[in-house]
Amino acid sequence: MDCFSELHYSIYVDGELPADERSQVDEHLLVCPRCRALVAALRRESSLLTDVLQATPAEAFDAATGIGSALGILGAFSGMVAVAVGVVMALTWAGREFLGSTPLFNPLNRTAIITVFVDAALYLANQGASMLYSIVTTLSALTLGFLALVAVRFALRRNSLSMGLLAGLGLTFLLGSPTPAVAIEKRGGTVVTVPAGQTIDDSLLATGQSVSINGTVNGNAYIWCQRVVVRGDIKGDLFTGNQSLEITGTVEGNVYTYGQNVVVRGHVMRGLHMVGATLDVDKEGQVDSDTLAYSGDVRFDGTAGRDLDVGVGTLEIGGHVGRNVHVRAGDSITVFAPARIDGSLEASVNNAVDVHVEPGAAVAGKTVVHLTEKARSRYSQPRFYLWQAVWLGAALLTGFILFLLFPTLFAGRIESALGTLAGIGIGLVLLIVPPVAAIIAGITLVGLPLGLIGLMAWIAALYLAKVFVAAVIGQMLVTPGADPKRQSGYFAIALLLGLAIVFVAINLPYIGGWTKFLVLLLGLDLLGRQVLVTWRRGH
Amino acid sequence: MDEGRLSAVLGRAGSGDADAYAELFREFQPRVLALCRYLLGSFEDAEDAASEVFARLPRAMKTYDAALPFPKWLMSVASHHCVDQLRRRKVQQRIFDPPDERTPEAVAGQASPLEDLVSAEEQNVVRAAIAALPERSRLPLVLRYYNELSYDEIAATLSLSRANVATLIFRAKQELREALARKDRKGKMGESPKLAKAHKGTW
Repeated sequence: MDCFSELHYSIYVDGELPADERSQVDEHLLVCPRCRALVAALRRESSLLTDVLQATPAEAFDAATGIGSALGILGAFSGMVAVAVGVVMALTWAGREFLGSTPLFNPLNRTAIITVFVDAALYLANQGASMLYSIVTTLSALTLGFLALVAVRFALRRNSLSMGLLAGLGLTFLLGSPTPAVAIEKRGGTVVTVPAGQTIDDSLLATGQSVSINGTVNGNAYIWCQRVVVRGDIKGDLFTGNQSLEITGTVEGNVYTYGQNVVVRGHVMRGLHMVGATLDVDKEGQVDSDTLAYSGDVRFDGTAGRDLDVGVGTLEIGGHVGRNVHVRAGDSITVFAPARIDGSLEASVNNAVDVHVEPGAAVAGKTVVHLTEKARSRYSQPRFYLWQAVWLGAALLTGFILFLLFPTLFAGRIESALGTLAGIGIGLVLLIVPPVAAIIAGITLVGLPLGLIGLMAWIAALYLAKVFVAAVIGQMLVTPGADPKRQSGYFAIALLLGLAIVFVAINLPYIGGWTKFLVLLLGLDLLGRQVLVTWRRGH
Repeated sequence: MDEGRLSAVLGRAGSGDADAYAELFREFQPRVLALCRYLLGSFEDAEDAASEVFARLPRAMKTYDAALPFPKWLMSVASHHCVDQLRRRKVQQRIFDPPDERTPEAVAGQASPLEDLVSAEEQNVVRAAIAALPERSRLPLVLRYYNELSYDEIAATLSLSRANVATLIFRAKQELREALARKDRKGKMGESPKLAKAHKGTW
């Protein structure tokens, strides 16, 4: 007689075969040792399944996952810290290697970051009108891209990985595509030279190790290289990032430079804005408008048409300043004998003796010296801890109230390292896109209220992001008990624990800022996903 | 809780004693929660479902037939509640379509029945694998081996035919074996679980 199928035996073992079929199987089993062995195995499997399942009070596997996720979160957190440390080290190294001591790329130098922002603001003030057009163009492009992504998303039916990839591709495309309608001449190579007598009618974009401009550029010059020498004439502005910049010719517009060493022997007909290590304006050097220099040593023997504004470092003035000299945070300031300052001299320094005006030098206005208090470490100030405690209390209260209102908002989990990375990517999109969309909505009058609401929601989300990450971390570490009536109590404990961890992490010296940023991105992603889930449940 | 005590508590519960319900909650909540966790696949949903089952217990007690063992009855109430939840999620009346009847056979070379798990760790691995099964496999398996319902009872709970239930349970076991065999191959779980070697291939 033929053997029965395994399905048949499975039903037999479950005791669900009708009596007649059961006796047929019984008879067959008497003569077939192989089927007997199979049935025995199936029986053991059934009792195993029963044992395994019934030995499970709920806590059994939650305890297991609890420990697992606690380890997971510890891993993810260490990963996050490692990534942050890696990025900081890479940036610092890259900054030292490629740009000398240019502090712009040193994320640990707070002053440098502030001055970059100041510079950017000044640039905006000077160039605002012409920039508005390009801003609007860029924003519209971004919105169009965003709308296209939304469309693609609907076409693809929510797959977060492909979404992330598409978002990345879209952004790359948008950022990578050249700005339309700008006539520009590109030049590259180890040595780029615009020979004397040659005229470039458009703007010039030049990259290379060394760029010399001996001829004339009628537009702006954008130069990224190690060494730049301008002996000719740039009719527009000069934008440059480099190790050394030397201007012996003329720049009829502004100079914006991030460079290690800047030497001016020629004529800058508008402003000079620099972030870098040293600035040397020679006797022949002339800047007709303001000179703004941050971070480093400044030797100014030439002529400044208007203000001289210096960030940090030493300042030596031997030339002529048409208006005021303003030193924001100097180590030492010396005004040498032939120097003439037509306005006032105002300086913030650590000691009064740091400001030295030689007898032969002339300051027409007042000389004001502000003594800066030595910045104490914020960790040594009780105020810091007080504010952190207030912040923590507020975050705890906010999180708890939100939990009572929308418990599902906090059901998000950090699942895996890959998920964490994808989350950071999505968080970045959520950080950038909403304000842009809100501003664009605000430009049209109809969309203004919508834009404002969106912007406020976005700001709220920025605040809540940390609370969310804290809640998720806390919930992974605190295994809630079974009693449903006490879930909010468990949540409060979990949130407090999570907040404490997040607070320590984002206040760590040096890497705290980066951790904060990552936490923000991760929180935005969690928040976004859970809002989506909550919204779906509501419908 | 022994049977005498349980029937006393049930008697008090029947007459509306709140303390008796609290006692039932303490006694059975973990088992109900575990069942809901298996059926619904998420801890949050399971917590909601379990607390709802107990919240509705005073009303449901009116339909309780004292001839039935209370735990079995309570678990069937809970599984009905969970299946309702799943149905509501899916909108359609049926949770899932009946299986394709044509191919219930084991394919040659498939993994053999699971046997002899010794360690608690191995048990956890199997538990996790069950929890990770798709709904259409997980539900019949859990109702059968956790609730120990008969094929007919499972068929009634899930609105399927008896033959469908047999196929689904059989397939679920195969999926579970394959999932565990895959894990085993990946070497992530060391020795567990032991697959019977005697029956490779011929069935």
